[in-house]
Amino acid sequence: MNKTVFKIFICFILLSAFISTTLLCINFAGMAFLQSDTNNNYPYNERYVLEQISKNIIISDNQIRLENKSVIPDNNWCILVNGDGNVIWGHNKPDDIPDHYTINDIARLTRWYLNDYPVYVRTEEYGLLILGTPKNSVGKYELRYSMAWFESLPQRILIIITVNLILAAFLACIFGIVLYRRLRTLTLGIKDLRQEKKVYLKETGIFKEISKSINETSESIERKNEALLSRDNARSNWIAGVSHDIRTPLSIIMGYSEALARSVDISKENQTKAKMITAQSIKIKKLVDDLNLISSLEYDMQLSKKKPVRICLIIRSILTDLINNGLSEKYKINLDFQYEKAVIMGDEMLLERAFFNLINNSIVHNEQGCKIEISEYMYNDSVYIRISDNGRGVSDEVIQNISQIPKTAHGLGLPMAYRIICVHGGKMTAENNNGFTVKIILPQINE
Amino acid sequence: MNELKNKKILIVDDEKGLLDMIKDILLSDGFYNIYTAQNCSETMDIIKQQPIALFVLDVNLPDGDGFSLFDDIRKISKAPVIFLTARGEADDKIKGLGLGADDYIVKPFLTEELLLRITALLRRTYVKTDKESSFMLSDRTVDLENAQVIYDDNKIQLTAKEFILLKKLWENKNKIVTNDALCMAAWGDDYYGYENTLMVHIRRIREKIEKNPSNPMHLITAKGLGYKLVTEDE
Repeated sequence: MNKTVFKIFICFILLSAFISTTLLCINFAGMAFLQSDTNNNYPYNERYVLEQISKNIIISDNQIRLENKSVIPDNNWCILVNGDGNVIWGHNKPDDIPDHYTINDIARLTRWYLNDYPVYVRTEEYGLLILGTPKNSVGKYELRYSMAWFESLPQRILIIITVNLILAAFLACIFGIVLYRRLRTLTLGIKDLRQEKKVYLKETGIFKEISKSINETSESIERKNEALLSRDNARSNWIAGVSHDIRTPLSIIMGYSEALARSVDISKENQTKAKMITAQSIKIKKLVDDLNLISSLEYDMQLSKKKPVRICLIIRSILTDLINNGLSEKYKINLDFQYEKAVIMGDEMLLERAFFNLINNSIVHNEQGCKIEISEYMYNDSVYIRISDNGRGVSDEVIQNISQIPKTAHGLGLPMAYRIICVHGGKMTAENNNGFTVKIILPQINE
Repeated sequence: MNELKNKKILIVDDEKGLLDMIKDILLSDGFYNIYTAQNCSETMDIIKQQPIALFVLDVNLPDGDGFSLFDDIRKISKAPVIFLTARGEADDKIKGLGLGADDYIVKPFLTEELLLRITALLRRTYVKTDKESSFMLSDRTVDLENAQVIYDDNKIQLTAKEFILLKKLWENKNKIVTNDALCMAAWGDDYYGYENTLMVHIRRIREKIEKNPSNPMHLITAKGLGYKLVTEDE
């Protein structure tokens, strides 16, 4: 699982859990708020009002009066009914309120309404005190539950909370996974983008805009790479074309300078000059070859002419050519091929050039002569080749800059070999170790 | 040797300067039947009139490439062809053509090398002398015509493989020939695994051509690389 995405996933889950728990708490509080009726509370609480009325009623000499009339709120009325059902006192009594009540009337009004007036009662020694409130001001409902209901109430509240929490966690997980998937696609897209691979993400959902941006970035990278490639190709083709075109005039120069050098019609001095022209032309020829090779290594990173190549054969043929062309006896060559069968996929000419450069490097840098050891073995599907001499070695600068193409044609041998090995998916390292040693690893193909 | 100098040579290149130069060089070397052409159609016109003994062809031509011209030439003539190429120019194709008498030379070239190759090709194609088909190694004569080694009136027959190997070594006398090249000559491209067999054949050849096979004077081992046939005339 992607680390960044996983972090985001966890954060999201925790945040969701927090939000849902908070919501849950707020809802419970809301329920409590819903239960409360501010209009039905103190100081308008009917029980309180009735109590105040009861305290203020003074009965003396068959006279009943209210000492403080303000205890009855405006629009409310109050009557006192004695044991016979007769109204013995009233305050603000509306006209549609009867003066006599049967036992049935009493039973009905104690809980509900009296002529649609919501009423409240209080029993006193001298009768029933009835407080009436304006019509339609209060709705009265009866709540009745079994005792078992009350007993299991805490449990049920607990279950509701638990189910709520589980639901919250579940939903958070579901949304989290959906988010995770989307994010993962995005991060994979960005990762591919970094490696300059072609990316196309579906432009839907909450990340539509981001996906679109990534797709556009990918397209723009691709366009740029194509432009870069076509520019490199143009440059590489141009160099190839020019170096091709130099060859024919150079052939003519070389042909005539050689002819002049042999000619008996001109002076010895001029013959020498002609020889110099030939020698310099050969230098130009080598430069043109190298220029073309370096340019193709630099710009066309893909090998166009891949085929199975036997490494040992190449090395043997280079050494044989060197010896057949008169390599001095000062150079002792020792071969140790452990795995003759080693075959790699590559361009034979380039590989030949790389190994020639490396072997030739030991020869050219040690005019006093040296021992050159070339060993080869196979390990883990790779071919290991070691070319070492016991000569005077090279400067540290050369080793450090082994991958850098020099500014001039001088010292091109090792960097060229390095590039060729790299183009073949291999590695090359160099060191001074009682002489100069180069180690090469190339991927072997399985036959 | 002089009979080679009258052979008709056709040089094909679109660059007139190069044609003139090669013509000059060949003339000064004694060749005198030299024809030049700057494109494919001129070439075809010439070979319909003249029996050309050797072709030198540029790969890039204004009205076609050297390879298709080569195919057209082959329909009419069996004469050897040397290709003039720039390095990297269809190397594989040229190496594939390197069968039989055909050769190639990379531009720019030293005229000496071109002359050498032309002469060698002409000789290989048109000269069959006794000198070519037999040679001396100390007291023994190797008769390549009959695949025999002759000494003191004894005639020892060479086997087919021995003959191929000895011929290959003789063609590259006094030079090391790699194991790979020898095996390839005897067993073809897919020769891997024949190295030990090669050693056996070399030992048998030594038994036939060396006075003391365990201390060879002519068929020398180049350790790790291959073998060399050392002849007296070097």
